Amino acid sequence: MKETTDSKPDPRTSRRNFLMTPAGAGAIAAAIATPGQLFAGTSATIPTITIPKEIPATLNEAPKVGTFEGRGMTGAEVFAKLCKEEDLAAMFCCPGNYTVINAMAAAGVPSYGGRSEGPMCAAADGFSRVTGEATACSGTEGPGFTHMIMNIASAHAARTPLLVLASNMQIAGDDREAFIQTGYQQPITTGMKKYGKRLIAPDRVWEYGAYAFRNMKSGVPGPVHLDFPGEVARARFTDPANIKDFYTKDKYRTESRPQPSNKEVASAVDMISKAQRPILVAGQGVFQRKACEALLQAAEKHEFAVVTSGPMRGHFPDDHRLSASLAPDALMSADLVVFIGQYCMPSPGEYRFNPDVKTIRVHPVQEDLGRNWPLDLGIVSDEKVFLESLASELPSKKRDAWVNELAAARKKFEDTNLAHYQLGLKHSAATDHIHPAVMAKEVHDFLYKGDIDPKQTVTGIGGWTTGIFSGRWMRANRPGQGLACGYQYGAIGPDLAMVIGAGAAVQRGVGPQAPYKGAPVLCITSDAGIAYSMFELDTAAKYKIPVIAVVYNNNCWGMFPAAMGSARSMHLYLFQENLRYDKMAEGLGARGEYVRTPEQLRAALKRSYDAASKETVSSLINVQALKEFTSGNVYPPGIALPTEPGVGAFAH
Amino acid sequence: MYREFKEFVKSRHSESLPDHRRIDLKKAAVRSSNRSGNVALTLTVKNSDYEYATRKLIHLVHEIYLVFLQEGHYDYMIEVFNLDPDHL
Ligand SMILES: Cc1ncc(C[n+]2csc(CCOP(=O)(O)OP(=O)(O)O)c2C)c(N)n1
Ligand SMILES: [Mg+2]
Repeated sequence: MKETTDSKPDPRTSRRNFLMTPAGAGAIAAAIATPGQLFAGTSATIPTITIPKEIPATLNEAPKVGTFEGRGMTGAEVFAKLCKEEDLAAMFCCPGNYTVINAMAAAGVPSYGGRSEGPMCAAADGFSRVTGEATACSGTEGPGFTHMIMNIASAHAARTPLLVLASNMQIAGDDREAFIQTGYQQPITTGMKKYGKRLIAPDRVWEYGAYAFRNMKSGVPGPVHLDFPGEVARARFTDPANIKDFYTKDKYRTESRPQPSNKEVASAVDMISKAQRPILVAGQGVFQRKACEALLQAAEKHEFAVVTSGPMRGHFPDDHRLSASLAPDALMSADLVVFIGQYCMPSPGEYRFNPDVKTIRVHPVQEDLGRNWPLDLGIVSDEKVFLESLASELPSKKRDAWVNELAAARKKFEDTNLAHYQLGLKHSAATDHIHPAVMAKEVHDFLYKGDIDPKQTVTGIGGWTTGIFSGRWMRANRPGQGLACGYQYGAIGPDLAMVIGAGAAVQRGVGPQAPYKGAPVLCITSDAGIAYSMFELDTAAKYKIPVIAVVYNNNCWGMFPAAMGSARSMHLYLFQENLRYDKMAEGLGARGEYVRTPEQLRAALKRSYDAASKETVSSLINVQALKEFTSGNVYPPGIALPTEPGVGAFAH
Repeated sequence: MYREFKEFVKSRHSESLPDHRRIDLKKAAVRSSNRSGNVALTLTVKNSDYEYATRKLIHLVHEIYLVFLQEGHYDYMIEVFNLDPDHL
């Protein structure tokens, strides 16, 4: 695409030259044959895709928080001021809730406007998952808000500190169905939020903003949902004395964290030291509470194994010799498991531990200790505080036998993956379509075995067959490098939007993304999944967030085996075959690639990564597959659920 | 599938497993049998260490679910254990 502010063609890129040149029908054919060129006008009369000059211009405006002078501050501006003071990391929205989103953007909250509310909500979630920061999403009353529901629920399952904002008519019209779009919002988010409130008193807007951040930034985080009637958003304040509880954040919430007693730390140290094969399950709390460094120190000092869990990955590096995330076969050997920051607790039998395993669980909220999984020792503590105590109190220790067992199990896992890949290669060659094991291995080799720093690229995966095969191959070698898009809620579809949200964080180098600022991000998603998020390629292009979407196109909802034996059902599960998601992406201002062999995929990944890093242009790679690859009967190995906890896990 | 199951059960005695994972043949022996599709698992206690044998049997059943069936028999889990794909 071309920005209208930049009128000179860029001689560096043939892509841009291509765009500038009116192309005839022959050029369309050439574009299909030569993957990687953007959709451009096909004749001089059809203009090319451009970014309007208002976009960079308004993004470059200096932020301005409202003041009480003159006409004063609106309720929305008061709320935005609080969000700014709380360093709200980003807001993703679609127009609607106008007074609030305008005030947030004006106040300097980094803001992104997209194509539909659901994916924008997922983008906010993705941003938070790879940074640990609180983020917001917003939509209009009624329709925009209800469109976000699936992704609010996903964020709730993932314990994301997500601020869900929506306008909601006027209090004066409550219960009258005045004009349009009336809806009771708060009951709709019941069961999918940590806290919520319809704001009904304009003078309490700051107070409820404080409620929101107190909930997102204390204990176990979760979504907060505020709905704004017009009387609150558009209220005017010329005197701060008219705003209730209008004081700074150190007065309305605290950074004090639960500390374990010395006795509790001593008991834990004693149990860990006495265990032969201890393993620590590092949940999302380790990442969200910024305890990764303390975890690394404690693990290396005392040589315990670590396996990660949660909606993000990398809080303990997959490539570390003490990592059990790629060593499913060793899990059953552990004689002690220490859960830290495991916010969504599995039940015994859902994690691959032996029935005699002893359990310590460290959690910031007492009420959850003992839920689902029986404890031998429960400790109420902040994750970081506890891991720092462990790092200082645990004795240095060498556990050669345990470390060797981990290494052997990792080798076995890798060998199994390679065996699946070999089978996949055979199937790919025999069918001239790409098997999912081959797709996953090619992406793996490209990201982690070639010229790219294996710690660099943030990835997210979704889809069914797609996600199951890719989960075994995607790696997270540093905090915030991976997204388990379907974590716990199992929604098909938010993947690409989540990864674009994560890409916004990488673009700005927020938190753990700082060393990789500006790097491309990559999403492996499915044909079913892409339908939910694809239009956000427009959003990625508009904000120059370089994303590579690898779409496993198997012409169906991968649950089609459920239709077998049901006479009139299969049509419900199948799509038209050979749909061209690459062409659709071109129509949205991204590059399109179409591949059917491993060699083509390799080359397409390279071209896409180059375009992403050098030109901040996104690409969609349509990986053409067959639905039959899902089943092991004809094309072994077929799908197998991932071992939990570990790489590829998505339930807990 | 039964052939793989038999192999899996047999492999629990394998020397390649670490001690804490192996079923010691001197203390207990496990084997599987198949009578027209009805599969049985038998554990014989060798040295009167009933606690050891019982524990190993529980571990074995646990591993059959969480390792053997989970790693390669997804369709079977749906058919026999009603693993509902809607939950996935
Ligand atoms: C929004 C949503 N709709 C339906 C489902 C139920 N479901 C789970 S997996 C699946 C098949 C998904 O197909 P696809 O993502 O294309 O995966 P693949 O074809 O690679 O197996 C379905 C329908 C779901 N989890 N989420
Ligand atoms: Mg599909």
